[in-house]
Amino acid sequence: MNRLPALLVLLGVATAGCAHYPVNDRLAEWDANRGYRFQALDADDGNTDSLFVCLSFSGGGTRAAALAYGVMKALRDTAIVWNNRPTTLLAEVDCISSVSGGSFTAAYYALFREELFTTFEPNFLRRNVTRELILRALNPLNWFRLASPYFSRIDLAAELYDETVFRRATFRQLIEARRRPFIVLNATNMRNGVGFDFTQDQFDLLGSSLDTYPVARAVAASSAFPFLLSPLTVKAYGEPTGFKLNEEYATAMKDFYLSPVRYHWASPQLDYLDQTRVQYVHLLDGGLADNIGLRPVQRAYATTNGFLFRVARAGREPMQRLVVIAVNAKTDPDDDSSLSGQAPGIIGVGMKTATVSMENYSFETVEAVRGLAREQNDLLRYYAGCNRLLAQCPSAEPLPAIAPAFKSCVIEVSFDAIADLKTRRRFLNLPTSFDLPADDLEAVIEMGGKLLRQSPEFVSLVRLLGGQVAGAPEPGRAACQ
Amino acid sequence: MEFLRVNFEGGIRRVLLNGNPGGSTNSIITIPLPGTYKVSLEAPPNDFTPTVQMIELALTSAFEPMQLTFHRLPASVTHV
Repeated sequence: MNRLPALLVLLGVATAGCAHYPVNDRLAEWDANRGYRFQALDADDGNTDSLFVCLSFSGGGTRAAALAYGVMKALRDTAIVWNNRPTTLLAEVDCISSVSGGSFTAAYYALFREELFTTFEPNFLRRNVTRELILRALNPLNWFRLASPYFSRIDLAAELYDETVFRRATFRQLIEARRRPFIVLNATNMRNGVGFDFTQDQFDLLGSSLDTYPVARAVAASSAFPFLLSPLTVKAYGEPTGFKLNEEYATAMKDFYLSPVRYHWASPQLDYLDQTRVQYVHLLDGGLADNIGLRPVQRAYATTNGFLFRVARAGREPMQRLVVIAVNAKTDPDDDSSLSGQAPGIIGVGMKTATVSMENYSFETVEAVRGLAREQNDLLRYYAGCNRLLAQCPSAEPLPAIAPAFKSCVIEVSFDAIADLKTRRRFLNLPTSFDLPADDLEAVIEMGGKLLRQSPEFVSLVRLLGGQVAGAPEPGRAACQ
Repeated sequence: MEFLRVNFEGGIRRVLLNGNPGGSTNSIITIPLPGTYKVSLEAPPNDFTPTVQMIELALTSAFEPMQLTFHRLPASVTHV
């Protein structure tokens, strides 16, 4: 009997010694057309290239997942006519870039499609995931595992998501389905605060294959909120066999002065290939780099190796219309510290440091993407205006064609757009956690659809696409063209 | 936004920017960001010269795009 505690300790030490997070696989041989990349997905399921729809889902725990879910329901219910074929806006969604809580909705839809609308609520939204995480951490068997330097709270969280939400799915399931939307689950490299996405293009730079990697671990990394959860670690193996670095990186590295944004996008990516500097990447919540998940869409549009750049110029059919819908679950909670002359304590400062900065540049990011869209639309409008004037001159030729020539529309769904102040304050004060009371949850889901349907850009877009938004106000000058 | 026109007397051919599909020859291509680009044509056939041109694309407009020309090689000197 006296030996039992000693045996338990021995067992615990042995368990701790064995506990290790699942390590991402080495990429045996590089192939530009294999793995989880946009170009490897087949769009022959009725999803056209001519109408290209990208969504971004922000962070914000269950609140963000629910808002994104409400928008997905509204897109499912929005009937349009495209290429003389009745369809829905949801069926035309080509990519979803997501952060933190929003990554649960994005990954669930990519894996289980229409089942999102029947099982996502009981499997995730209505569960008290916070309590389940705490219970797992309190389980004595896990204490020993958590004592290992190679197993931490984020690995427990990833196991929970893997078993109870994502049914042990790996990226191979997404690759084999070969269907859009292409999902970009975003985390943040803790070393430099730069965004890191779970795509094969990113994993190429680690010399790693994403095929066998659990989707749940990608979602866990995307939502590894600082302090509450630990970073999630992936291994960098160095340059894979047969690898050819895309020339976008090499030319961008010459552009420190000529095009600083290209330089600053490329430079940190090349670090991953340097084994003397990077052998492991520790990932935190994607919100630290970009809490709205739009920057990957911006890069995909603006860099020559981006999937949006590629499909706009070499898609199966000319892109006619690009739609970006940014679902932003940002809050602005009332704060007692603003009513007190006493300086906030270290815990308050720590929590604020981890949260306030996440929202700082979301608005600017949306505006930057709006700017790209505006530039494209202005060009088409000026061109058409010039050609109308030239048509009045008998001997004048029209201007030479430009390509790509698509119209763009950016729509933001945000609690800030709630007109009624009392209602707005209620939503802006919702907590960021993985447990939302049922009445709040239902209100957020409903508000997601409502905010989308009240957006002037959305109303005008749906009309342009041959649909109607019941009871919607006239869009006015804020309309999509 | 920057503007580039790649002239090629051999007709319509895909233009590669940094090795990635970027548009077609003999029309104006829009590129979201200024910068250094490696411009080439899709091959085979390798019937053009030079094989690659490096450019610094900036300060262009739809009415004054940067112009590049690739010349068609006679069949007897096509690159292997």
